[in-house]
Amino acid sequence: MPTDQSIDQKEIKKFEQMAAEWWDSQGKFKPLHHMNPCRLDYIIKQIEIEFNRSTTNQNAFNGIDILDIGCGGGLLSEPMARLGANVTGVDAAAKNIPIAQTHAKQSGLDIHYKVATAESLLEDGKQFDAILNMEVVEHVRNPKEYIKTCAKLLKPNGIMICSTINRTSKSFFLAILGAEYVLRWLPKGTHDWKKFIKPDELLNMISNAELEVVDKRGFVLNPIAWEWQTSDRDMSVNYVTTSTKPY
Amino acid sequence: MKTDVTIVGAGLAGLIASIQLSHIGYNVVCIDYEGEKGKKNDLRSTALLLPSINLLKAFGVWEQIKINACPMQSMRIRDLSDEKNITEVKFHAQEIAEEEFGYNVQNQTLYNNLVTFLKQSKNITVIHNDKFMNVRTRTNATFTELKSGLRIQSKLLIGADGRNSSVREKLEINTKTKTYNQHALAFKVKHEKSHENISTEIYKSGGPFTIVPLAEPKQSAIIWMDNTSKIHNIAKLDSTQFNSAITIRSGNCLGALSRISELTSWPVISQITKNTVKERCVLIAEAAHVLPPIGAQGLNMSIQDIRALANIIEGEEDPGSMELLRKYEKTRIRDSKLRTKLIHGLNLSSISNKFHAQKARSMAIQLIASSPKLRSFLIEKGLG
Repeated sequence: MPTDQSIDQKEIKKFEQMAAEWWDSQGKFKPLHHMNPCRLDYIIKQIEIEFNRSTTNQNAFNGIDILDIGCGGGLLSEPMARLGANVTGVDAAAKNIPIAQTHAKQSGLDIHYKVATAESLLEDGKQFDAILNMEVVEHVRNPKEYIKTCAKLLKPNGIMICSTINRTSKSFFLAILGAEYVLRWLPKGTHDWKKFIKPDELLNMISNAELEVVDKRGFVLNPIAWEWQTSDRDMSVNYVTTSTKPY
Repeated sequence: MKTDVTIVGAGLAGLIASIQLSHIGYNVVCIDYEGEKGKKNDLRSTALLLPSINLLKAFGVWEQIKINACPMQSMRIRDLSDEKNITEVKFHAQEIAEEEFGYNVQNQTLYNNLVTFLKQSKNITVIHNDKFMNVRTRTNATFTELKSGLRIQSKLLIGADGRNSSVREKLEINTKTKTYNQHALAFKVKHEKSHENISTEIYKSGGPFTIVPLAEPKQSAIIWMDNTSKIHNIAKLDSTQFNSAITIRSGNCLGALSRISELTSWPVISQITKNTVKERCVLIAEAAHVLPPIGAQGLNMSIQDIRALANIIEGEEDPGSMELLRKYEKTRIRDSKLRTKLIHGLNLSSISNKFHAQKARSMAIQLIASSPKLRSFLIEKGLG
């Protein structure tokens, strides 16, 4: 893939345009932007709890190594970097990385982006305090092994935040028929319903990887406020878990 | 720091909850914002009703308290709202098949005994002079953050931090509050005649004047409720004027009264929360419900909260599970709402000048008779 130095002006322009697209809250990635504040609140709260930090302080996440898997255009990596964390953002889709790099540069943020998978990162031997594993696990070939790999990437006492979509009839209608076909929020074929994972299955995979689940809840769309919220009861469609690696 | 249960608030409810939960086997950390010195001027007294006494008996603190308590064998209600037609009704504990309705104890006595008892308990840690700042909850634990920076991880957080509960605020639980433009004034008196273990409520428009007998035969605790500006004016009187005012207001039923303590005064409100539980957190006592000080409800209701909670979480692996907390809420909410409504009604009618002693009597009996045994007795008698 091209590095920052080797890409020509035309390429840069193209990436700037794509970055603009990624970061346009009303554009192609609108549903992601819509959900992002809720996901972000959740992630920040869990990191605050785990490392006893408070984001009322400047640079609250100073010294925390965060890995954002499936970083896309950097919608999660950038806020983490703003809070002072050392962020590594990886994506298996090579085209996302220059987009994210371009936007980080525009934002004046120092984020380490690269094309990588969890497996390839293992070879680098680096471990992280926190792994953001948001909406990735339903796209990988072998989720069970993937979660094990993620666990290996965690430092002792580190946390992994993992969100995905439940395999229920409701999720079929909402995530696939609704989001992909009816509302056209996402490109058709984004999700394969059969690969969706039930909470119990995910919790098993996490325990199998010798991590301890400390939190689980759903992300639900409040139809009146038209806002995403967390729910300690409803995990029927989108849900999230936090797990820690025992020392 | 890690424990089973964190209790915010070390007032009477917080202390009783700490003792009760440690009694059933949990490790407890209790946060005491004011420190022990802060509670030296509670001049109120509490009429502990039988269910409350039974709870204190169960963990062995009652015998010591009883030494300084006064049995309540009779109650009388005097209605001065219609000066031409002064009525008085009296009822005796025997009417509900008991020796006494309960015991009157000064809050300070209760507090001192609980603190002494608590110091001997091995699995209670009290953190003095530190303030609750925030709570964050995960599926498997709560994290309570204090001003000092100390953080306590526990399975359950109990907010027992009073009518202006900070725990409640952080949990974003709303309250429904009614105000009456009414203040309560509490103090201790000595009197010429012996009280003969009778407690007396004297109603006149503005609110009741309640004389609660103390362990000394010629000493009582008084709560005077009236219009806010009137209470402020009374509080400003010098001691001769004050003593003469209270003697008149008492209808001279115990001879001349003279005050032997400081005064405390607070606004009378009625307040209840819609919910009392949230993930791994529960509100008890005045954090959940505040009533006007009539009919000996306040602390007794709080003790019932504690008893119900302890019964539900006893022996459970996870005392903070939502299933148990919902069960607790369901057990308590109806009772709390009903009592809040009744006392609110009673207070409104006491403020108006159309007060009926007879009605107050039947309501008071209903409230006191809170144990199932008594209730069935009352139903038999057609009083329930």
